[in-house]
Amino acid sequence: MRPPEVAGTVERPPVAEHLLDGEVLLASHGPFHATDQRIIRHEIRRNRERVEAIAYDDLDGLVRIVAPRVQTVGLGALVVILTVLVGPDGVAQTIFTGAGLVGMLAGFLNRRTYVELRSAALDAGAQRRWRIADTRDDDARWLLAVVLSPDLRRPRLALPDAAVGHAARPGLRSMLLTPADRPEAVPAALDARPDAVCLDLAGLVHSTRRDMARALVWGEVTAAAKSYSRVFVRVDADALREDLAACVWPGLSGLMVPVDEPGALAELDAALTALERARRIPAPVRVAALLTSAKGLWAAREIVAASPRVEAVVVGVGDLAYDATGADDDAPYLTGPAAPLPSQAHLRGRTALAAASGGVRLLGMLGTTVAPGHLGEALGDDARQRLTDAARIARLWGFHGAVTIHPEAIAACADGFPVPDDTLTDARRTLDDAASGEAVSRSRLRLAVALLRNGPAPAPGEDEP
Amino acid sequence: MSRVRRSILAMPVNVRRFVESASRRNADAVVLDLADAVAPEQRAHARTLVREALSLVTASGAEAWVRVNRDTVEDDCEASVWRGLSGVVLAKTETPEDVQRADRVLGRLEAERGIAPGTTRIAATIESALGVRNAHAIAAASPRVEAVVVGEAGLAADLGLPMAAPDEADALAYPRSVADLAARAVGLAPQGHRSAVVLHPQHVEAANRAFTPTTEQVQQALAIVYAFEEADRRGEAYGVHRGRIVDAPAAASARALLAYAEDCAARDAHNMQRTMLQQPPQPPAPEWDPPQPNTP
Repeated sequence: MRPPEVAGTVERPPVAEHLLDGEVLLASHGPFHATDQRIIRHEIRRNRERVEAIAYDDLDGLVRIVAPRVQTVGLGALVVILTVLVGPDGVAQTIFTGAGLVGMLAGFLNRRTYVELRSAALDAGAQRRWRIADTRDDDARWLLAVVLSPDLRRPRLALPDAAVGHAARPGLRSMLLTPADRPEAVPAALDARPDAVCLDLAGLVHSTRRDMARALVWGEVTAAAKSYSRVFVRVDADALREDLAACVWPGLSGLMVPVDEPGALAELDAALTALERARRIPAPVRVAALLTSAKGLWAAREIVAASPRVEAVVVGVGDLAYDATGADDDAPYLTGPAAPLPSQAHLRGRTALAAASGGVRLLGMLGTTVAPGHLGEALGDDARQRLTDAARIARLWGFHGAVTIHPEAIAACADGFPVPDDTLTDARRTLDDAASGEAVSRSRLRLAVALLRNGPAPAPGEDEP
Repeated sequence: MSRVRRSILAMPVNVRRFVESASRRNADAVVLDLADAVAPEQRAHARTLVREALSLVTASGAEAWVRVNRDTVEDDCEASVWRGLSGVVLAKTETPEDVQRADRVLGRLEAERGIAPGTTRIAATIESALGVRNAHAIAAASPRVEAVVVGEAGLAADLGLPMAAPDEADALAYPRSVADLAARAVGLAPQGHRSAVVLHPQHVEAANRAFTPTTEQVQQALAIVYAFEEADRRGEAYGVHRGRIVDAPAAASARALLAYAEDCAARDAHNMQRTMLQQPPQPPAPEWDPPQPNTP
């Protein structure tokens, strides 16, 4: 399955001839086309072209409808009635009646899903409503996303200059979480130039908006892939299948997934492999394993070793996060697992050892409990200094970077998690050694690659269709 | 009602004066010791006293546990598994086999004595390096296991550590954390941060007070739950309280605290009612030097 074609791509549907000057086609599904200005219905019937359009401002409503298939039910009923009235006696009548009943039942059970667009601007009568069929289809979903969200109607999200990026980026020092149901927040997140942006389909998105977030995330991944930052998506373990189908597209660099046992990674691996093949994704999607539970923390070593996709482990969330009711003033700047577990030294040491043993990065959480907009207020004027201090201490504990929700914390991450020159020199030497056939431990090699190459993110432009 | 175990009063089962005095205090749980606190030559006699001591303790509304020896687990359980027993504290647990052995004995005795199967719990105390190594396997060894905790005196002895170490040389922080993490990893409720083992009845009230959520904590939790529910109604994934994010895990943690506070209040109300009904004479002060409370 391919993503819906965006403006300016190879196959222009005939509807292109009906676009206004400067109007850009964004999504198509069946006879319907969404542009940055209008929704167009374009059909060819009996060799006659029919074109109608509604401007977004004239749209009165949009209703999702699930209805039985009336025609199938009617046909079944007709068969039953005819058979009873004129049909042959005996076995044949029974069979025909049965078939008619099954048809009716199938019509009831196999419902159609469609979305109705309503507008007074359309012709009177039945034409006041347009039905966009089968919303389970990816093309239809994307079309609806464009119709629903003014932000997606901008042909391209406004992005920072793409050319600056990838070469200068030393690893995963900062990862900025931003909710996927708010596409307007994505450009701002990318402006902060984190090493990675992580579009959230889980905790930061209300359960009633998850469908909307899934509909939007393809566009966000595709757009953000052209920026300085690598693109991650945080998925919900309880809706893994839907989330993966929504976000695994070319441009996606990695997934942030809650993991509490190594076996979960094998399943994820299989699902990702299938999607990568079907959607022709050039480089393997990496995994940042979120250890959210004591179970996951206990099995950290096995989890890190369970799949070569694992690039980082992330700690400091879920039931290992701070105790909301305790008066823990350090919580806003905390990285790593926290209260109410007793020994920070033990838990941080344990995660650091697990990460090192697998040659993956260790990420904590920085400032993630401070509400957006409250960072300055909560920390006072020296906000950046305290965040930087927290990051420096985290570096001493063995962390390589941190996940945050505050653009202000990105600079603190860059300061607090520097990659020293001799580390880079070491990493280069390790790669040279490996290239010349010398024995190098697998974990050292992986860490060297991670430090120098920034994982599988494609260079700008590489992921263009 | 979730388990409220703010004060766990431990005492040798063979000193009747202690047992009687303990049953008049408001301990949330009482551990009748058949192990270290009883001299080996007195253990046979001590076993004959357990049944009556159990009924004294349960009459006071406290949970009643018996601390049994790993080496004589059959005899100790034989003497202890009666109606009213919450469970056994398995001293010096080293391997999952220790737990499985106790599990089998308890199962047999429950069947023989008409006690609902599986209701007698096990709290494993780890008192050796081998036990620390096996903490996870011990926690997972039987569905009866309810807690895995470090027996500090025993472990300090096994590791050759001085008993009274200053805070900055807390060598037991690591084993405590291992035991806690292992217990939580198999889904057991964390112990320790809401209870203390006390060795003298006079320390019970202090422990009860220390581990009851304060009014401020309760108010804070209520505000957090309220902020989250308000946000949820508006269709937002998190609310804000005092500049902090209040998300689903934070709200769940606050709700758990409220439930715990309610259980503490219920337990305190029960204690107060009992004290007022009985109007017991104040017990004479024991004539032994009270050891310091042992706070894990």
